[in-house]
Amino acid sequence: MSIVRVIRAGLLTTVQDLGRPGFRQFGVPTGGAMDRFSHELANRLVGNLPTAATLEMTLSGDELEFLSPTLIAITGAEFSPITTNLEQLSVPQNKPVHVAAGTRIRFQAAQRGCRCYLAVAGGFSVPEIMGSRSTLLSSKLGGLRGRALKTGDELPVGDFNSAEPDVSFVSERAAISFPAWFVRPLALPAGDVVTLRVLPGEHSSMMSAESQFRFRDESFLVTSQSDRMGYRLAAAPLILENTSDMLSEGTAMGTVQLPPDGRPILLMADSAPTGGYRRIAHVISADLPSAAQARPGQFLRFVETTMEEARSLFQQQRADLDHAITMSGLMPGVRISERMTEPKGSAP
Amino acid sequence: MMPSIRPLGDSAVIIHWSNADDAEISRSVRQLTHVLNACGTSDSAARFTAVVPAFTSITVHFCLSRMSFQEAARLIEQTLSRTEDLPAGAPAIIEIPVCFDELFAPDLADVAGRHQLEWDEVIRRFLGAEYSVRMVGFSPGFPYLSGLPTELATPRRSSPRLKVPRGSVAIGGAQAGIYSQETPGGWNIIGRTPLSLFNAEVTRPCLLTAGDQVRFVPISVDEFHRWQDEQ
Repeated sequence: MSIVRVIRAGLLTTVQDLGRPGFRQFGVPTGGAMDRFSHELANRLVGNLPTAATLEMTLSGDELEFLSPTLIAITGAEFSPITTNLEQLSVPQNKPVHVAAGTRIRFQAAQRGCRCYLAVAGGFSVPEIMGSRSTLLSSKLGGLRGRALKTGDELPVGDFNSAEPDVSFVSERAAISFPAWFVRPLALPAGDVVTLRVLPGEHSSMMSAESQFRFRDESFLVTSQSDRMGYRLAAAPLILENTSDMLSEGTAMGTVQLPPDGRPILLMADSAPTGGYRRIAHVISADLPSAAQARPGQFLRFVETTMEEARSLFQQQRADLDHAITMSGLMPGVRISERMTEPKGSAP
Repeated sequence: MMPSIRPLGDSAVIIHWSNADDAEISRSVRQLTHVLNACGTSDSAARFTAVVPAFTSITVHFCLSRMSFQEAARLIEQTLSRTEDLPAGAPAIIEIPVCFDELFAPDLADVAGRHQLEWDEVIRRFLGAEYSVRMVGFSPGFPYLSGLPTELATPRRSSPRLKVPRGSVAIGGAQAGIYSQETPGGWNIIGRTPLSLFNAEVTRPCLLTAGDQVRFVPISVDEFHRWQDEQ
């Protein structure tokens, strides 16, 4: 079995996959990758199924050593990864990269975006808990012993990587080798304001007319009290005209709740499955990856859209992911030795 | 009574009964949850990714790459029209041992004082009721229980504890609950169960599900430790 060793741990790196949605009825958050698009894109670039576990790094990355030859892909935020053991080579993102045994890669601080994803062919094979390998920090379960990575940890890589990659770009002698082509990544938020499209929440009309207007017109600061559970947003408080209590009801990743203090909370991957605060909006699925890439100090702007547009934007993203398979020529879940040798896409 | 069906964002549907917490709604929630979960194995509804019952609602999550909101809503409407007359099925009855020793019941004195009852009388009335799991939430495996005698209803503590021990049996307003993990919490703690309400390592991770009936059974400190050792 192949191993990835943590030479120096980053700020908050966890093993993630698509989570455990089927356990929401037991109070278990779905969890999984915050930016599912980048998670899935990384997996597709190395021929994994979307359910394979990747590493999610936050704001500042790890230094990792690959003990065996490994096919990897890095997507999401720009962490300027470089090799550190021989010469400092910059490791490209958004394409498959073959890494020779013993190569070390250091992921630096995020230049743009907040979270980057590292996929390895075969996936990280930590034990499955309730059908998922994702780390749920609040319950200390899943991933690597239910916690973030620490210096000295060793992560097992799934067996399917044992076949020698025979993809055409691989150079056995080079520390890293990769094709000239790359796939279109998630557009990372440029500037201070991240625009997110929303559908109205069931209780948005309970806000005063002035607050309803401000919700669509103002920008909301992502405060430092923001994590995988949710983002606490700051602006002048929004006013709820109906302050009656409500019984807890289902919520979803992307739900914008308004507690009595008037400061909205955007629920993210590890949020509880139910909540008793009013729901004033829902970020559409296609924009959740952008929300996951927003960092504390940036601002969110909410723009209303329609159910039809929400679905069509989501389907466009799926098409982008399918394109990554065409480019890599790696069919998800097929052993590397059985794969085509020539990538179908031409170099840009 | 037909519930309303509304979107919760672009990939979930919330099925809502009128906003009152009564036994009839509870029965409807339990019945439809059962049917929606059971159709999880058949072709059409297998596409729902989660069915989450709450007090007066059910939230159904679906995969946006497989269906639109309209399609999900239609599927649920069809299921509703087919299942309106079905019996809800008998709920499971689960006995939960609780030790009321002051070691485990830091707020029993407050609860007794507020209602001007002796400690024993609070315990006697608490044990005399039958409870129903209305929702599992807050943390993995935490049951919200209805059925608390009205004279024991006690508002949440003004300042929540940072750590409530796992297994704590507590009163929050008109409801009872059991802390399934060590978490912060503001409910009044009146006892503790040695049972594990949530265990991620087993196939059925939660002891209780929405719709179950719960009876509490008193145990001594010795029995508490024996139960705990057996687990």
